[in-house]
Formats: sequence, structure tokens, C-alpha cells
Amino acid sequence: MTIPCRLDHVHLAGHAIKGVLAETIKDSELVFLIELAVCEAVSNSMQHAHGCNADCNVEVSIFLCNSELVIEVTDTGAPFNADLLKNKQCHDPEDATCEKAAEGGRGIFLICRAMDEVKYKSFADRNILTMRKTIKPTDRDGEP
Amino acid sequence: MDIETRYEGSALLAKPLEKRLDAGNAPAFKSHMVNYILEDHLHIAIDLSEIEFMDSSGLSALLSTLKTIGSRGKLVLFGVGRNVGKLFSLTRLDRGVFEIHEDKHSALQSLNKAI
Repeated sequence: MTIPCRLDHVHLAGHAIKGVLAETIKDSELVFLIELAVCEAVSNSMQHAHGCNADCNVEVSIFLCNSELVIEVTDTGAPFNADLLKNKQCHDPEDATCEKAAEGGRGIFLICRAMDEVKYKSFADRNILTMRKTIKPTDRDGEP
Repeated sequence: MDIETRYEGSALLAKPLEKRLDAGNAPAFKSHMVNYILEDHLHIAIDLSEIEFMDSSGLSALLSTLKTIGSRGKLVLFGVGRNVGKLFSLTRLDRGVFEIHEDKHSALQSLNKAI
């Protein structure tokens, strides 16, 4: 799906992934975490790659094959510092006190926590964030 | 962003009437909350029972509200559902940052002690 870069459209990506997973995953917490990762990735692209320019778009592709879920979020804006992905504790939850807690910067941390593997590549003016999650048999509908 | 507000003594009870608190509406929510604080409502309980989905932008708006009140008053949360609770626990903002209560009664009791 292709979504114009408007933050009030981020929920469309959330609804899409939720719809795809509704009949596949029975664990509602897992569905929430995947929706969270997708929404964080889409809003990151809109804000940081395209500066919320509504003339630009973000593409979301969802591939679900057997136990493998792959979601790609693609934009054509400014690339982000992929080194952030190497540090899963880029927002250190241990450091959380009211005074010290940063107001923002939790998006990448949440994506990394929600998904099994997160990769980012930037080439030919396209930036692609690829998120993978293995769906366990116990997460699926109708299976023991 | 629709927010239902009412007063319980000196405390302001604010209930966002949306299913989502995300990048799309978090700035509007934050703006409403800052306005309440500027109107001198410094003891606020936020009822999150309608919120089924929250992302880091929603968390940021709540954190901004908390920091704006600062030591002048108190912010407590209640009505936290499973998904929103998971977000708080993943970020550990439920430990030492936000005061989260089981229900309205407990939230208001805590606020009244601080007034």
C-alpha cells in the first residue's frame, strides 16, 4: 500500500497489518506489537525522511508466507543513520526517571523490541526498512 | 481530538475519547493537556480506558504533560488496557516515571493526597 506523508494517515498502515494478521495470529499482544512496529516505521519515514511533505508517499509491503512475516517500509526521502539499529538500547529504559526520561526517541527501540530482525538499506534514492518476524505455531489460529 | 473532562474536587479528570493515541493525534492531545495546565489544573488524572492503541508519539505526549506539570502538581494515569500497558512495560515508563492506577478511585485518592 502507498500512503501520503500525513501523520493522520499512519493509522491506515496499522489497520492494514492488523487486517492481514487478524486471521493468522490469535495472540492479540503480538498483533499489537507488530502494528506498533509498522506505525513507528511509517511515522519515522514520514517525519524524518520526508519532513511530513504530503506530496510524498511511503510504501508498505507485507509478505506473509507460512511462518515468516516480512514487512518493508520504503521511502524516497533523506536516509537515516542506520547505526541507530545496531544499538537496540538507543533509548535506555534503565535510565527512566521522570527528570531523565527523554520525551521522544523510542521509535527504533520499539521496532527492534517488537520484531525479530530489522534491516535498513539505502540505494538508488530509495530507503527500505525491512522487518522480519517468525510466527510461532502457538501464535497462529487453529494450531495447538 | 475529543477529550471528556470533569472535576472531582480540585482534580481534573481527562478522558481522551479516541481509540488511538498515535503520531496522528498526539500533538493535539498534548496541546489540550498543556492548555489545561496553563489554566492552572495541576492535579490531573488521565483515563486511558478508550485507548486501544498507543505508539511512541502518544507516550511522548504523556511525558510532555508530566514534565510540564513538574513538581507543581501531579499527574496520574488509570484505565490502562493490555496493549497500552505493554507499551509502558517495554519502555519501563511504568517504573518510577508514570504513576499508573488500577481504577479511578485509586487515582483520585492519590491525587487528593497531593493537593
